Amino acid sequence: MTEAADSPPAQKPARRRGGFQTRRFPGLPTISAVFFAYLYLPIAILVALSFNANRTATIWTDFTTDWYARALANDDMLQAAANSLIIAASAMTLATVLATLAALGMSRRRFKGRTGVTALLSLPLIVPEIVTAVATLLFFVALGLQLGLLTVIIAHTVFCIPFAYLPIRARLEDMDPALREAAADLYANEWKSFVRVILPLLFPGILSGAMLAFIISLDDFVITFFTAGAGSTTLPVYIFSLIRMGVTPEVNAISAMMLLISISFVTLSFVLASGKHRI
Amino acid sequence: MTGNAVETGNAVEAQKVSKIFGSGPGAVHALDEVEVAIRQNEFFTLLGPSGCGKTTLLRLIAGFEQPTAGEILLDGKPIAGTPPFRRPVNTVFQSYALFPHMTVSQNVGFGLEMLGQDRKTIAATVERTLDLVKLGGMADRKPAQLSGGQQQRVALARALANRPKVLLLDEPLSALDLKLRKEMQIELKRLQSETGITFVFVTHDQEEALTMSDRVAVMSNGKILQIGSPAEIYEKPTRRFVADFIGETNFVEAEVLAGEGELHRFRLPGGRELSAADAFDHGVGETVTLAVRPERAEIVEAEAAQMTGRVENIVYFGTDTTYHVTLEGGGRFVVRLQNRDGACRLHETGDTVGVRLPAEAVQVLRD
Repeated sequence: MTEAADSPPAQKPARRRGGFQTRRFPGLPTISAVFFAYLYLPIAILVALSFNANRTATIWTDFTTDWYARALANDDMLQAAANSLIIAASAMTLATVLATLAALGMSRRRFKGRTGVTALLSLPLIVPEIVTAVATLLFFVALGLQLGLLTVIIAHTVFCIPFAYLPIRARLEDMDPALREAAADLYANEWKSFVRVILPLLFPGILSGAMLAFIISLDDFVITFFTAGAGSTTLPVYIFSLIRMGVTPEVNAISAMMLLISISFVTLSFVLASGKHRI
Repeated sequence: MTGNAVETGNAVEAQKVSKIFGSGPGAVHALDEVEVAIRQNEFFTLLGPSGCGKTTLLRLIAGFEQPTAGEILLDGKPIAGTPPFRRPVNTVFQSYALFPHMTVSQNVGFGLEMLGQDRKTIAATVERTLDLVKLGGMADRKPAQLSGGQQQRVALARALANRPKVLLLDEPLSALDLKLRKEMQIELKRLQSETGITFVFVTHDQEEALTMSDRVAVMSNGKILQIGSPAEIYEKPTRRFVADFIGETNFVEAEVLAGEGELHRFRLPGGRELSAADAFDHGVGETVTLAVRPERAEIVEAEAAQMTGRVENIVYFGTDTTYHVTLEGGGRFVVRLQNRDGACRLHETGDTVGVRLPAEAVQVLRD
């Protein structure tokens, strides 16, 4: 029992000693591989099938980009994509502006109920989407608002705010508080200090938040489904309606394109958030 | 913001300034009725350990904080309601706080730009200021491309470019290594005399304070304990904290025997007597604390001394040697002797020696 502690674990390691070590956990690589396959294999298959010339999903015949061509020639699909982009761009802009103002306000002074406000700001991340969706629909109906692009944009702005808020807040917290004081010390009033110092330094965070908001809006289904009226169908809702008639390779192609857009935006968001000029 | 003509009166004045952070039982009294007058064109240092309130006082002058009570005057005018961006003072921050997205020259020109000066004037001033701090070729670099010492100079140039009435420096040298710090000490002193701007310098480093300042204010627990020239602070400390914080000091408790005339008489722990000036006129019978610098005491024959003891420890420093003496009747006393003519070890451990305290070497403390 008193072997040298620094000897490497032999074939039969004494399990009771040294506690639980994640690195030595047997089979960890295998489990990880299974886990990642579970996560990404379906997506990989979807992308692969979008290039399959055969209509039947299970039989691979030939490589083709026909389905993409066909998807891009589909007017309904294009209309839905256009709606999606309009909604995502509007929700992104509104949410980012509001989130920036919120982050600035929250960083300014410690006040009573600050924690409460932070919780309220991030609540949309936790509230079940279906609850928000139903509540929002009832709210719009109560107000007598005609369901359409506008209602979807309003609904999206609400749940996009926390996604935009978090990176901006993080960036703001990284910032040396003395920078603000330095600007004030060098004769910059609040506004000039904001425009010349705070905003440029915050910009990567704002951009990152905006990207996240955009992608969250673009991908949303549940809330959109409830708050969209005729003519304001978005891409996810359109895909859902297609699937009811069976999964076609065209749906695969559309999905693959959405995936590409999402990945590029999220990547961009991360690159910007961990941006070159550190504060 | 322009001109540096010698003006009469004080550059900065604090009148019974108090600053309390928070409220209730958790409140922190950062400053407690601080009174100070900083003269025009002076290199004034606020010296004290961390948490003594020196940075708070600086921030009050800059306008980043508002005093809880009392008033701060800049050039004789109260500045209570003036926001930082309207005060003719500039700050060199401890973290430098350079704008990372701007080049060196944009940083240095920022204040002038905010003041609405035209591009040509700004460019000329920036160039001149960068030359002044010896950063001539660095104008187009970003702060991240500079070394710590260079960033420090940019911070300095950025503040100096505006020709403030008062320059506030918040421990600007603390992040530099020793050699660079020494260089910058001389540099700062040079800049101060060249520009004629009043410098208010905050530091916890007593050596920095002594070497650079015209006057030093020693602070502790939100109070200013003593204000004086470096020599006064070192040679004639009035408080135990000041004597202890700056340099090495021996403290000896003594009883007042006679309090008449120029020199007062005191009885030392060993029973012998001593004469020294007492600025505080303690009454006969009171116990006072005497402060004696190690280099001002002498080691002599036991008969000629006021105190006797045994050499406990000898530490050789090259330029001088210190003798740690355990006094008869308790207490330790340190004597530092210069090593002249190769005589570096005049006494041995275990020797019984006498310690002589010349009257002019003894400082009677107030507390």
